[in-house]
Amino acid sequence: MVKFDVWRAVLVGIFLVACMALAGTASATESRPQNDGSILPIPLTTNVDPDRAALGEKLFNDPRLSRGDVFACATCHQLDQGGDDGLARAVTNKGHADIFNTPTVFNSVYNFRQNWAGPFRTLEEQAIGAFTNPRHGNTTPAAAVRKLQRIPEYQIAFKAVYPTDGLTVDNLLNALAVYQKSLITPNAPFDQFPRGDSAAISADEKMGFELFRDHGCISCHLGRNVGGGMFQKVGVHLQYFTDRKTTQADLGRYTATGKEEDKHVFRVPSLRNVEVTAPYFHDGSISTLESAVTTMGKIQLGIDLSSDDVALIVKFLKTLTGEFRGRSLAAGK
Amino acid sequence: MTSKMTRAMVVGGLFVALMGIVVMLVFGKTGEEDIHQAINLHVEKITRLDARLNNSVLLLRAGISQNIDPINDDLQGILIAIKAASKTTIKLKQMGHHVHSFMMAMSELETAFHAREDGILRFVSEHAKLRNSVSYFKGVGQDLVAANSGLPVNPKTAVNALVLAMLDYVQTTGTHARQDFEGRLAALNDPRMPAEFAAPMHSLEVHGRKILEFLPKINHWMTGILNSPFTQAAHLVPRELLAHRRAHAGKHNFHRSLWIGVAFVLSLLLAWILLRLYRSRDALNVQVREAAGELEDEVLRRVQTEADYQSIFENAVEGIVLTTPEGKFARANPACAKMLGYDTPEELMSSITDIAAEIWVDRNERNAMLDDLRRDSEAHVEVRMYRKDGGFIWVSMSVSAKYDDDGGLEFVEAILLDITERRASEVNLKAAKEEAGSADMAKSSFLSSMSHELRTPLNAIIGFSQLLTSSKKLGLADKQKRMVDQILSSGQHLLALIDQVLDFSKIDAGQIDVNIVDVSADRICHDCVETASMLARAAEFDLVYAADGRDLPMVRADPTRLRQIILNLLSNAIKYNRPKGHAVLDCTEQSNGYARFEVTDTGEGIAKSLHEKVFVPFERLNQQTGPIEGSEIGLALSKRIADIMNAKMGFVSATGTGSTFWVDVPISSGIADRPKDETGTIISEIAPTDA
Repeated sequence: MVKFDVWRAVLVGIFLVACMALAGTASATESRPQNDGSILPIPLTTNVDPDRAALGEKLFNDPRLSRGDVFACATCHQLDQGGDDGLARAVTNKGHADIFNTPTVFNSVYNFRQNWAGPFRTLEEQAIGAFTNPRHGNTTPAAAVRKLQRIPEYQIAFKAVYPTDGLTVDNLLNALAVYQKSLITPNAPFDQFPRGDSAAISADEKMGFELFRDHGCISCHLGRNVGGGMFQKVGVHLQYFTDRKTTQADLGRYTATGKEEDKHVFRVPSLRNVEVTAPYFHDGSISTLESAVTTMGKIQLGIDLSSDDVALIVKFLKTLTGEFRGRSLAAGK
Repeated sequence: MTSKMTRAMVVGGLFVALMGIVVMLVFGKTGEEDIHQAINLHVEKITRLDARLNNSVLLLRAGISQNIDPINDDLQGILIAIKAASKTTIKLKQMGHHVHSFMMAMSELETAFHAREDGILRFVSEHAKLRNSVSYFKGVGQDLVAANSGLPVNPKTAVNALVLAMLDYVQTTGTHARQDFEGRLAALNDPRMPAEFAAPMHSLEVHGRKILEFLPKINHWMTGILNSPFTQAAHLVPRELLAHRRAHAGKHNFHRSLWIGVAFVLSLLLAWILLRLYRSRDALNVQVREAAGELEDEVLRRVQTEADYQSIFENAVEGIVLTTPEGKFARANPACAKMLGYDTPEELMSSITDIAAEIWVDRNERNAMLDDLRRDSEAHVEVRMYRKDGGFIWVSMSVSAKYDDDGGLEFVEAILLDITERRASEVNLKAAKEEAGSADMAKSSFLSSMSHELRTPLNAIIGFSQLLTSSKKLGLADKQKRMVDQILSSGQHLLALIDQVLDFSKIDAGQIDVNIVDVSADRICHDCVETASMLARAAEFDLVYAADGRDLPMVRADPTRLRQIILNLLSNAIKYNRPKGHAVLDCTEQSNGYARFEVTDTGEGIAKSLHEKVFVPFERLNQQTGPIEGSEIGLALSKRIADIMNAKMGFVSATGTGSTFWVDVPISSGIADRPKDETGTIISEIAPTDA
């Protein structure tokens, strides 16, 4: 059985390599496809357990999960603010500015890693990180569970949702993760377009997408989350961190792996709902979408985008703003 | 159930259990096969996803798929499967299997996975950059070729060939293709190329260099991915699993046989021991059971008693407390704590270290109580105790002693009742009584001095009025004479009234003096009739002295006061009589050592409902509006005087037939016996008071 799988894989590989030449030459001359499958729509529904999600929502909004009852998940991840806090950098439990910009919680389930440096594989791991971060939860999941055990309401709720073992660390993390899995924003105009609604995006927006694709933005910003699927160095063509004082946050993935090649490497952020998650970049140093697009073109693609192109690309990016609970995220801003 | 039946059942049950064990050992599954199955499933999933991973990487590299989500999903899926397989392996370990080599294989697999994942992620990252540059390069090249008809043929061909060389290199990655592409890239600086195309040309060169930079890296990662040690390690895992199963099965079979033998021997031994035990047990059984039954009953009873006591203790309204003679609390119930102002017994017991000093207001009282206890084993005291807030309460305490084995006082058990309110009301009552008494005294002394002050001017009025009537020199007219008579009679009436009030108040104030002597009853009667006859005549009234001529005894009384009483009765009999009626004074010797002076009238009589008020001061019965003048205190005063003289007063009356008032006066010594019960027609009598 096992051997067969491997051989099949190798055979497919050989076949594909053989096909490559044909495909490559063909694509050099054919007309450009609208969306070559790089960007996939967000599903309209999730199949998460609604009871667990409801419990997770309560926990997500409860500051008692943190030491001193000061900090809830929702303190930084505000659903009416695009899933983040609208600030350049997150606020610590002491009220100071943290080192990273808050990533949005929306669609975070589709990120292959969580956070800018990508230290967390899963939402559960991310939650542990938030609990134990001295600047955020400043506690541990176990301590939070002990605290919640003194609240009869949670005792009852956990027993109802997790009948076998009730309130445990695993179930606490699970409830939070399940809730976040429910925080998806389907039905963005760009997602409606391939479903057959040709009026969902305008000619300008379409042109913006083509620029986005042809200039190569799409090489990294792709997949369900239009990003969030790979690590990439900031400064492919031009060094970005030379003309400024480098901070801890600027080291990126290096802070998680300690490998030299991971310096200034970040998880490519999702561009979904980018319209409502200003300011931009890992440290929130860029305040407008236009500026972000221009900077990205310069340092990542090695091109100086014209202001017209930038405007069109921004128009396209705004078609990535989805709906949460039937309401466009842009409506709240 | 007889003991034989029980024995048979136990031995039978044991046999069945034994057979069960044997069957289980020979044929039973212990669940480890399920675990192996589960691990197998995880490993199969790992190899399946891993193979798909290679496919996805190849598709991406070939440009057939642009989607990296499947790659990320499969990497995540493999890691989850590895973790699940490791977790399941630990179960095997917990069952006592030697899974070391298998665990090592799993651990190697996980390490290899992280290396593979790292390679794939770096490949993805490099590939994105390559894709970007290739796409840009292609775009610029095609734009140059297609959009610029002004481009000379040779450069146009050069650009076209360059793009094709790039694609060839990217797709084949061969050394020749690279050299070809590099050469063409270097030859871009064709002098025939128009200057306005310098910028796109520069872009082509930049991206071309990037492609040359990225592609070897991609090839490096690709090779790593396709020859991943992980893939090999993943193949090793099932082999290890199989080896483990074989090894364990062999060992397991040996163990199984061993265990069957041991279990069989042990079971036989156990059965034999049990049979022996049953035999010896039977003899003792009944005895033990009885003893056990008794013990159980006793325990139950005690538990119940203790529970009852505890309930009483906890819920009693009275405070119940157990203390040591040294002054420490041993137990206290909630009521006790509450009484002393503490929230809980625990608070009370923990805050008090010396009862004598901190609870008892007077520690000497406690010492006295302890002395009593040592003597009598019970005591009852009313003492003051401090509350938590510093105030004190009165407590009625029933104390009993608990002795230790040597007969010494071990504990003091006390039942406490808060009597603070009762004490307070007692004190208030006493004070109120004293206050009322002194008020009464004040009233009486006021009246007595007042009467005296009134009498002086009144005497002057009467004296001058008499002078006026008797003086012929003044020659008063008839009309004037009548007016002066009126003044005189009114004055005399007022004087009589004041005298009575004075007497009354003197009695109340305890200031009256009676001078009791032996006096002739006949004499008294004659004096009275003589005095009253004037009144009777004025009223055209018959006054009869019925005892006239009879032999009357001597009585012990104050003659003045007795006359006063009888005259009062006579004057009432005259005043409250009907016109043309009569009054009778009689005196008889009673059998109980008293002489009875009796005045009978023919008046309206007194309604029964008013009998109680006859001797009450200032009550004129039904006569308030009548025409007869008189004070309201005559009878009441008479009654008081009679009391002082050890005489008794009473009356018989009925409406329409008239009244009979009497006064019984003790007969002089020698003649009188002790008083006997009253009989006959007497319906109302007020006995002399002790005071």
